[in-house]
Amino acid sequence: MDEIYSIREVSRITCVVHQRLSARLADFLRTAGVNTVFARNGRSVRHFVKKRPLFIPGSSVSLQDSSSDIFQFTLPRRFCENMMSGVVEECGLEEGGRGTIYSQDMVMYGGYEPNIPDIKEYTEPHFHDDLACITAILSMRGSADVCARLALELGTCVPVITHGHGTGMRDKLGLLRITIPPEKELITLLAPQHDADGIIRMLVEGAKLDKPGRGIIYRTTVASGLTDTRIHIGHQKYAASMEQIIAALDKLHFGTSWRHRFADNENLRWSHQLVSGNKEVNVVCPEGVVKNLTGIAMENGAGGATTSTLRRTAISDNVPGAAAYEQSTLIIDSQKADYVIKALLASKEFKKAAGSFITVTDAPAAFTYR
Amino acid sequence: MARSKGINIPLRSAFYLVVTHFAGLIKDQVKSVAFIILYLVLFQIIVLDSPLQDAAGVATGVALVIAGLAFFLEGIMLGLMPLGERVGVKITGRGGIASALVFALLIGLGSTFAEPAIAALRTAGSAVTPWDAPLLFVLLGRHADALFTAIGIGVGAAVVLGMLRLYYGLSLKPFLFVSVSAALAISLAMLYDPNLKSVVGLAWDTGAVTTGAVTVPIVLALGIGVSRSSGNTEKAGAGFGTVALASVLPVVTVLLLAVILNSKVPSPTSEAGFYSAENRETAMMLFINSEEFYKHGLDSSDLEIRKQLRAEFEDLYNIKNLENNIRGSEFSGETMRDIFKVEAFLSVRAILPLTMLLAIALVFVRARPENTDEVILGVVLAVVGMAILSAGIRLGLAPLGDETGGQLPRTFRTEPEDIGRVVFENFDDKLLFESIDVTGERKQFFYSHYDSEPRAIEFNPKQYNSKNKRYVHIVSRPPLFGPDLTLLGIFLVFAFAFGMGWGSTLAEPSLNALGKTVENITVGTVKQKGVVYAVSLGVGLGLVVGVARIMYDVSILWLIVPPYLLLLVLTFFSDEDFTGIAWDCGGVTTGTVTVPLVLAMGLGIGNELDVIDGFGILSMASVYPILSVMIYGLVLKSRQQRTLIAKPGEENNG
Repeated sequence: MDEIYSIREVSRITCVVHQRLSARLADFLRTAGVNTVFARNGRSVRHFVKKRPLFIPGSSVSLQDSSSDIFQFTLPRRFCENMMSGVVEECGLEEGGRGTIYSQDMVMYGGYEPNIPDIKEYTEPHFHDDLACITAILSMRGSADVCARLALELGTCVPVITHGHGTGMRDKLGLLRITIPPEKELITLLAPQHDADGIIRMLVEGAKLDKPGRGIIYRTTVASGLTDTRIHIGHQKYAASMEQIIAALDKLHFGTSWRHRFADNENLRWSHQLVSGNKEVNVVCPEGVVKNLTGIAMENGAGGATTSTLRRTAISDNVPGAAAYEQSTLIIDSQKADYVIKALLASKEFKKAAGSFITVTDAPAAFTYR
Repeated sequence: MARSKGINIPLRSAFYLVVTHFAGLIKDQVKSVAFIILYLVLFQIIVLDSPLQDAAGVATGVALVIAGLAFFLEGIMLGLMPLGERVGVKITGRGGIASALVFALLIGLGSTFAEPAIAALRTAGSAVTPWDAPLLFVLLGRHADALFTAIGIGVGAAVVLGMLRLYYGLSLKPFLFVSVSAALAISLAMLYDPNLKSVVGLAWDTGAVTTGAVTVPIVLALGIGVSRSSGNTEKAGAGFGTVALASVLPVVTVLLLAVILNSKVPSPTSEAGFYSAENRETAMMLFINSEEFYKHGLDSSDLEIRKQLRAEFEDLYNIKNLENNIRGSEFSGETMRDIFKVEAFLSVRAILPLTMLLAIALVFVRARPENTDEVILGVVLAVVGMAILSAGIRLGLAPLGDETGGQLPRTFRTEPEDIGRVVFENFDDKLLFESIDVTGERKQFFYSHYDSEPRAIEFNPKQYNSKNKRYVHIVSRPPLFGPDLTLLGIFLVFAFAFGMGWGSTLAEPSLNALGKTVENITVGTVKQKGVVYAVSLGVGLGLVVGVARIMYDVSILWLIVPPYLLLLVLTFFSDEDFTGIAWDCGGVTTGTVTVPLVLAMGLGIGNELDVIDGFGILSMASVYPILSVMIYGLVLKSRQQRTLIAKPGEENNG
């Protein structure tokens, strides 16, 4: 490396809000002086419970989509909690159905120096610190709905679906690649850490990820977070929904570990099939460069990448450049990861693209067809 | 380009990959076309009870339409849209907003050149006469260039405004409020002038027709690109709305053009007055030269007028085979190869200039498309697909539509219809017999076997010429549902119009492109199917209203003003995103597949009822889908609202 890149330990805050709240969140972040906020469109899926008509007993459950915006920004770690508290208060995230927020510890290479947010002290709500983030990248159209349904049935959280484009095998085919659809569905869900592997197993079975060409699923660690508890909407039988009761118990127990659901021995057996010691590498760069960067990463040992389009939002005036960004997500073995990152940082494409950066976080468990 | 080394795929597997891919595409299109084809054929066979003519030709055409749609749509998705989006992202960033606007203007003007709507408008106005509606006649004939320019300016201005709006993140609503109310106000004011009144239908149809199958995806992708690069998506929606402006602003410019031209054009008169010698000077103003005037006059139905004109002009111009000149040129003697040649030329003209413009813009901002090879392949596919598609429409779908549409009036006709004459030479009184009914009334008849089997034919003394012993038998077809059942007939016409609108819209390629884009941008919250069905429903309803206008001769304003006013109200309450999507749908609906079919039906009914023009029906097919999508959007919005519990002091829609 002929140039020393700033390497910092940061927190990346991800905030999923109902689309109607996104303008307000953007305003808040702008006034707070967070300089680089990236947003993308997503879809939150919930159960919609309806009483059956005509005195037929029982109720029918269908999936209900609602548009969400997913905001991501990085901050020096020490400001993270207060910032999250601020977002929670400004957007009223403690109320169910409005959104989810969580932070992850990352190592960040390159990019602009994160601003120090200029906000007042907020009272901290109760954040969970025993959550895990499960992400599945699915190649078959419709798999995401299968996964969402499963996650909702398990009552884990409100899953969020986004779209991306895959690169991998496909790009080695020349023009023949057009015969393979590149569209991927990404589904993200937060789950209690101790249950995460069990949930991964359910999803693998549901979306048939143990078959070739179906996708990949992995878990990353979450430092702290607050989940959306409004899993069911529509008809409600009791004064409080089950989710509200669970949330109240979570508060009493200071955590989610009391919810332990999957039997330990079963989990252990399954855990052997999961690949440990991966890294999730996110390359964020202005539109147009990502293809070349992914190419470099793949030459250096990455297996494939998924690209999503981002827009930089809540821009305060002092940051140059257009708003169209792209993010490439790579799941790489830890040993290869350093090599890939070095190659990326050394490439002239990366240097030329002002504002691009790489974040790396641990992915302690992953599963795909081998 | 840093791409890892390729894998060599054996030819056989490559072939397999390609075949399965395109088979999938074709399967999708078979699904989208199946309804309209089956509907037309079954309607003709079951309801109209008449066999399909040239079934082989129609079948070939339909096969071509399906293949063409598959290629064209793939071409749009691979080539045109990525290219457009790329330009949109790059041009504001590197070129600055000024150059982006210049470019937007060029795209707007270029698209009018690429996909001239004039042809469709001329078809709709083919029965317009210079004496009933001189202004309309001039706009479609002598001053077609001016009309063309007005449309171009309208579309250009729309693209410019659309880009500006997305760049600065402004809401679409004020733009719509101003432009639509302007168009409505001018249309209303025009009611007081008989000449201007006739143009209103044309103007609103122009808006519907201008945005064609190539323009829509490009403009849409450009908008999305600009919107992405500006990042101002909270207020402006995700890049929709430009197509909508491109279908409203041309209405305004065409209306203004009509106002300007009006002073130079005489008022409507009668046919005889028009051709009279005193009126010659004013009449000439409507034609390019006196030869055109003469030709038009010779086409007149009035024998006196023809005689008079012939006497006057015969020495000047030698026009003998007039019938061939005017009527026969369109379809006679056209082989399949000719059609392909023409359509190939047209599709190259529609796609290449715009693509070149985009490519030049990319060079200007020193950028490349993400996958150059894919884009090139996409453009080629789009050109080929469009050529095959339009050839298929001309060979199969349009004749089928003409056939069914032309016969449609039979369903509500009350009197028997003459369909031909048979002349009996050497007729004799001795052949006659008499028959009697219960009241004692008698009728004469004779037997004839002119069409193989002998059968009885009623005898009408008026048709018998005893001097040369010749009897003329008028072959007539009884009304389809008897003299009393016309209500059922009218219902059938409406049902037909609805099915036609629904079916042809399902197959519309630019609507499918729009639907896919909407689904992608909203990450599946709004499904492609939902949008397509909502639009198709709207077009179906619109066509019912449009046909009703032709049948009952309602003033077009009655049909245009109320729905647009309702739309403005709905727009006020609607989401920014859905405002853009809904209004865009209105511009998208009337495209390659719908227009020929709709026009065939409109003209079929119009000819039967002697209505001067078939205008208005296209604009109906454009306004109702906006309504239906808007309502669909409001339903979706209210569903989404369920998830969000408002906090105290917070507005529910904020």
